[in-house]
Amino acid sequence: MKVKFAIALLVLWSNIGQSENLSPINKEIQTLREQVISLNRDLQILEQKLVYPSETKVAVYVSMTIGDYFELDAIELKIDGVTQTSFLYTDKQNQALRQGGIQRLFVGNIKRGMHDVTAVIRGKGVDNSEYIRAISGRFGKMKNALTLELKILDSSAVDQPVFNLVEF
Amino acid sequence: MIKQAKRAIKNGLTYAFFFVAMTPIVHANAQESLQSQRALYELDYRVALFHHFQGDDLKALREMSRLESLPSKQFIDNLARLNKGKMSLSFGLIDNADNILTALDRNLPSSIDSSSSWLENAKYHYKSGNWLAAQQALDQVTEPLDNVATEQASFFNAQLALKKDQMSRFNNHRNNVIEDKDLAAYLRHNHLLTKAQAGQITQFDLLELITQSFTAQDATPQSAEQQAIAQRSMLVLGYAFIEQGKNELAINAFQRIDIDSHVLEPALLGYELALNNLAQYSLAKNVFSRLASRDNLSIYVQEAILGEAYSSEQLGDEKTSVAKLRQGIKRLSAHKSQLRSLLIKFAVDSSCFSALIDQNSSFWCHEDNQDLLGMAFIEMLSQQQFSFLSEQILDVASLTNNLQQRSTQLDVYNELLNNKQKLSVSRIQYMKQNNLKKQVADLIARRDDIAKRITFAKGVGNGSFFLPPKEAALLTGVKKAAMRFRRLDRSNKQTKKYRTRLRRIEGLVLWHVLYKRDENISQTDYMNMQLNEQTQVLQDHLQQLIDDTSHMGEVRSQLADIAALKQKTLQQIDVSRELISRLKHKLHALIEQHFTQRQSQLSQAITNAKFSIVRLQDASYQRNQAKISRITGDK
Repeated sequence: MKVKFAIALLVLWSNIGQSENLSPINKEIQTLREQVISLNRDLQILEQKLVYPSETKVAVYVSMTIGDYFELDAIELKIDGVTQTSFLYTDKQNQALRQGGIQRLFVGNIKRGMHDVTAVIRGKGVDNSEYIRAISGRFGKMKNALTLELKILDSSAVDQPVFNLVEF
Repeated sequence: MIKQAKRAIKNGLTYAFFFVAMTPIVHANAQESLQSQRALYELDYRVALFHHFQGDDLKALREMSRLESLPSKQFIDNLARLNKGKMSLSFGLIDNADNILTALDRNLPSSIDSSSSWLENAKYHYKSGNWLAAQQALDQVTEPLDNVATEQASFFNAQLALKKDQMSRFNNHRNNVIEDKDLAAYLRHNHLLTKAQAGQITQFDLLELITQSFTAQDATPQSAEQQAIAQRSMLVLGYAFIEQGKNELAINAFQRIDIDSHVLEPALLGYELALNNLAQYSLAKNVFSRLASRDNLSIYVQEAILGEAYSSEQLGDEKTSVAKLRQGIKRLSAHKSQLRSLLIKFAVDSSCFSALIDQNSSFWCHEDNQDLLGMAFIEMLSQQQFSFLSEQILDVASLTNNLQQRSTQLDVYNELLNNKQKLSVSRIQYMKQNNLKKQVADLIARRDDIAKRITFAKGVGNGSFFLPPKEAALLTGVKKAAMRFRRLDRSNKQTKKYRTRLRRIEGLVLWHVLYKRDENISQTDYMNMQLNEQTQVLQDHLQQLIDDTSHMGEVRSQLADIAALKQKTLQQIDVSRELISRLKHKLHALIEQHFTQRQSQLSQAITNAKFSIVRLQDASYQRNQAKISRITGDK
């Protein structure tokens, strides 16, 4: 019976939260991870040059400051009346935005000249009420890439979320 | 002189004014450009954070790595470095994280961020098992942190204090871990483990655990993690009480473990042990029987088979005991034989072994082996080392998958560029053959025509070249008439009269000629302007041709980049496949070792069971002999 007791103790007597020492194969996996990051980066740079050259590139970012008055459900982005992308937000993505992360919502190509950009924002406002708001702007595409940021801010003055579409 | 001096002063002042006025403009432009670069950097950096906060650290690190390759890397501050360290830790780049965090700590010992970086550093050292370095890093956490980080720092401090057996320090830090219930549960469990190993578990520990985790608390429901830890803690208490001989308390502890708990089997075994110790063999036998009837023949079930026979023996039911032992031997032998055949199967059929590792690809293993595979899989799950290796294999497989996706993406870009190249070539050919040559020929003809007219105009000098034939003939006629009149008698009145009229006509003709000449010159100018425009078009086309040609060079360089990337990607895919293969070999060896050990354990259990049978039979025989002797003696 003592043997059984020893077996059970062997299984039990392990400290939770303690991890294994790094083995040589772990080092190799780390190197592989580094290489994967480096390849992903190089490919992204190549993609930017190839698919979205700055002469035609347009990028739209989404940021949220505080976010107490608003929970984002979805955004539909239109350029010159044509829907470019629609995005549904998860709780995790909402949380990431509240923590200070910025989402690269859309990257695409447009011609030089003036363009109408519209974002239709859906979500839940204070008291969990449905909230739909469209925000538009007219922006000029020049030689450089056009970069826009859709800012979702809390306005304590009106106890409502405020939306801004600004150019960099 | 005075005027010149005034002008010079005026010009000098103008230049000075221009210089003074333009300098801030140039400076302001540079500043504006820097601000714009910074704003763009902030966007990309926070995109990296967006991925990091969602747990997608590969994308987060890719963004950070891209930022580091751009001129905007000048804006990367210590907070960004700290976050990169955190991303690296989460992505398993422990060495990179250590380099980043150590450098950060060395450079900025008094910065407001240094405490967070020291905490990350401590986490890294703790994770890699370097307790001393972890404690040294934690000692540097002097600045106030947010609540979550403060509790984390207290958790690691408490864990380290426990390892050093500094109980007062442990309690101080443990008292700071309030909000994070999971961390608090870990600390309580590890504290109980330490006490159990030192033989210091008391009834109070049991009561405390019951109050904290086993009493209905509707207001603050426990997370699955907390419940699992509490079950494990209760198991620790149960075995600690058995060791102390407090079997009633042990039973109290084991009885609180849930029927669907992951520690049910060791709990049942402990419960039976406590019952046996209390000589409650009948109850123990029932519980042994319950555990022994479980399908999965784990090490606990194996012990229960023997325990059930032992309880029967203690109850004086030797017959049942022998029967149970024989049943047990049969079951243990069958399991041993299954393990042996599985090992043979793995040795001859690697696809069968892969099916076990990949868990879902049993399709590749023969149908007859499915039950065996299921059994092997359960065996595998019971060992942490297997799950650790399996996780590593899945991890590397996901990296391979990412590389394969990138490889496919590269193929798409390669095709895209090839199409672009073909388009450029065809455009150049079209322009060369149809458009450009025609335009050049046309322009040459026009140029020659205009040049010829201009040369003729210059040669004649009177502009007659510009006259249409009718006007030119009229002018010649008038000139001939005038010559004839000159030869006539000048005193003749009639002649004088005609000469005057002829002079008027000659004047009129000359006026007409001059008018036509101006008109023609203006026409020539217009043609010249057209020629210039055409030349401009030609130059534009030529520029486009140059652009296309240089673009071709760019496309060729991009194609070369893609080829290099593709080669690098394929190399890494090979590396990752080789890693997976090595990990599988390692796992294979471990499984073989484990199954061999299990066979030895089973053999030992079978031998014990056989020995018990022999012992029971011997005892029975001796009792019978004694009975016979007694009867014959009596007689």
